[in-house]
Amino acid sequence: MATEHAHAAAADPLAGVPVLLGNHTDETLTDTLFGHVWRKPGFGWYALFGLALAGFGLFVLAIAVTLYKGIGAWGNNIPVGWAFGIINFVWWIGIGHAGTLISAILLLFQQKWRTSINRFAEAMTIFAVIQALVFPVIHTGRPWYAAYFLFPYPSTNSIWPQFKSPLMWDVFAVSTYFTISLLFWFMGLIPDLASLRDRSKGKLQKIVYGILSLGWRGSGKHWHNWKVAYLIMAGISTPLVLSVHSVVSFDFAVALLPGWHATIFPPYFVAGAVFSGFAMVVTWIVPARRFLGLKDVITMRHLENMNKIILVTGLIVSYGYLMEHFIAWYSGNEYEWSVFVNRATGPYAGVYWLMITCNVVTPNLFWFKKIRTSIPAMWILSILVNIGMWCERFIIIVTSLHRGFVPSTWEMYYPTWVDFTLFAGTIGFFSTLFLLFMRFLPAVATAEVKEARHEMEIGHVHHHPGLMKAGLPEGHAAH
Amino acid sequence: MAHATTEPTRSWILAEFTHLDGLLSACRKMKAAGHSDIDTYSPYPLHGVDEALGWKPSRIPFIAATGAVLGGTGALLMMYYLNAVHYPINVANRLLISTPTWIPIMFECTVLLTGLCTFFGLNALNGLPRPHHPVFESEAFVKTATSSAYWISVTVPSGEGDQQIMDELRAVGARTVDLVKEVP
Repeated sequence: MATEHAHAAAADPLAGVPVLLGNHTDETLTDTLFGHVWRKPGFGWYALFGLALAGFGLFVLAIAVTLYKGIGAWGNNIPVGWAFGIINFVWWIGIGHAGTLISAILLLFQQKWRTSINRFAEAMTIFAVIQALVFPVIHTGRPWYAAYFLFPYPSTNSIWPQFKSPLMWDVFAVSTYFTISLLFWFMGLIPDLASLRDRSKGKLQKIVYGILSLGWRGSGKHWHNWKVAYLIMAGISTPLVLSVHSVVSFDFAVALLPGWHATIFPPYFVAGAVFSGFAMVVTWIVPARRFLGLKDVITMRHLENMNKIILVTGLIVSYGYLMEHFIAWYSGNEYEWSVFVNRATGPYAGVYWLMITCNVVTPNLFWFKKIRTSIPAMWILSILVNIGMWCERFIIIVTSLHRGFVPSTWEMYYPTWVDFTLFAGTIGFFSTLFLLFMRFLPAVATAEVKEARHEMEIGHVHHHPGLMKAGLPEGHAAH
Repeated sequence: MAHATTEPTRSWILAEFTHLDGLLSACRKMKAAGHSDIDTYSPYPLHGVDEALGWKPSRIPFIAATGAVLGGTGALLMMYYLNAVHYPINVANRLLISTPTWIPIMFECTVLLTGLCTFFGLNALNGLPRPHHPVFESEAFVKTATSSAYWISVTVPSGEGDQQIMDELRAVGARTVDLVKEVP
């Protein structure tokens, strides 16, 4: 089998470590990848789950306080009418983008390494978008009235939503994004759920997985349609993911406010979203591959590839900062320029320099292979990137708003304990959902990994019959 | 196996193969023998089955395209009617019919309807959800079909040469052969 791996690496000049380790057959892959679903979780899972549930408690508390007292419980004021709510919304939506990029764009580019991490990243997308949606819903103060002006619903007021507003575009973009991500994820899960159903020992498991799998039986006629449908979902998700963060950036870019009114915003937001999203995948996948026993399927090659994407998108984000500052100076508009000077030297300069350190300096450490392939280093850097991206949204939103055109409108913004609690609460809620996902669903797209293994195997035999015969387990040489 | 209290109407002859070549030759042989109701089962999509059994290309793209057209035009008409006809809203004296500002929502609705039509169209074409199916009666089938082996099924009216088909499938190299009957 060693020769096979050496060959797998040689076939792809960019590959260092193969995407699949060990002498796996469909049988052993099923056992390995479903192992964590059947195993009783250890102490570690319960400890983390307890912590996550405590975080979820904070979420409930913060929402209760907000709904009881109203938005006055938050630190928002005039002129800073948008603060933690939209910062966290943009941050969470951005985190979701890596999942769609991995599942859709890398599928279209036929990047085989994506199959090991797409399920995981798509789950992250869905859970992150749920957190993001909490903020626009709650910030209305009385969310039970929100449907009247968010959706084209015939209310008794007989006034319809105003479709020229970027905020309405946002409603459509984010709700479409959530729906499509969920359907795409579920479509990929159906074959694995059917496989789980057929291997269930208990009756309850069999019923639950049976219902969720919709009665999938792996029929060739079904796969025949499924393959096309999956590709179409990938095809529509690709422009969708680019549109979502572009539309989010329009919330700012369309406003005539110095610091926001910039044409560079859409691409720069999309790059930032992918940057933070991949960082979040690394933060979660590093411990998960170890504790779920997935090291054969999620190899150093996957981690290194993700770190390379973090590096590239980090450089795009840095370029975005550079251009934004350059244009502010070059425009000769003193209001525009004063916003940028204020960001670097004003009262929020600490957050600004933290952003520059985390987003511009740290990703460059991934130029070094040693750091790119070091588990502790990548884990710490991935967290720094997410801190940096949160600071970026804080800087864009708060510093642009807190000093208006006339000094009489200047006001500082300070978040309250409710703001912090709600933010921490969403992290808790996200972790709760993620831990449940890792407990009850296969964290790796098993059917897709098997298909990739099958294709690699056929490819080998085709090109090197002698070499493969010796390496393959009995019964597979005849392919 | 089926608990036959009434006469079974159709039989499924199931055969398991460990590799693709065996499955494909079984497919060709059964098709050549004149059986029309043949299906395969595998844990992941296989290449070559469509050709071996002569299936037509999937109709999913047409369903998806219908969704795309409905979504895009639907969004355009909705915004036109609601913002320009039913309750015209003057926003800073911009044109009532300002198509550039409608593009984002038209795009999102196109994607949304395409996705919904693809997903529900897929399940409609596949006849899912369908919790139970006669092939699940075979224990050997359930054990490997969705995880590690390739299966073929030939559906014939009950009693019409079941045994002969089973023998033929064994001859092509099937590891396991099983028979299940549909109970009306």
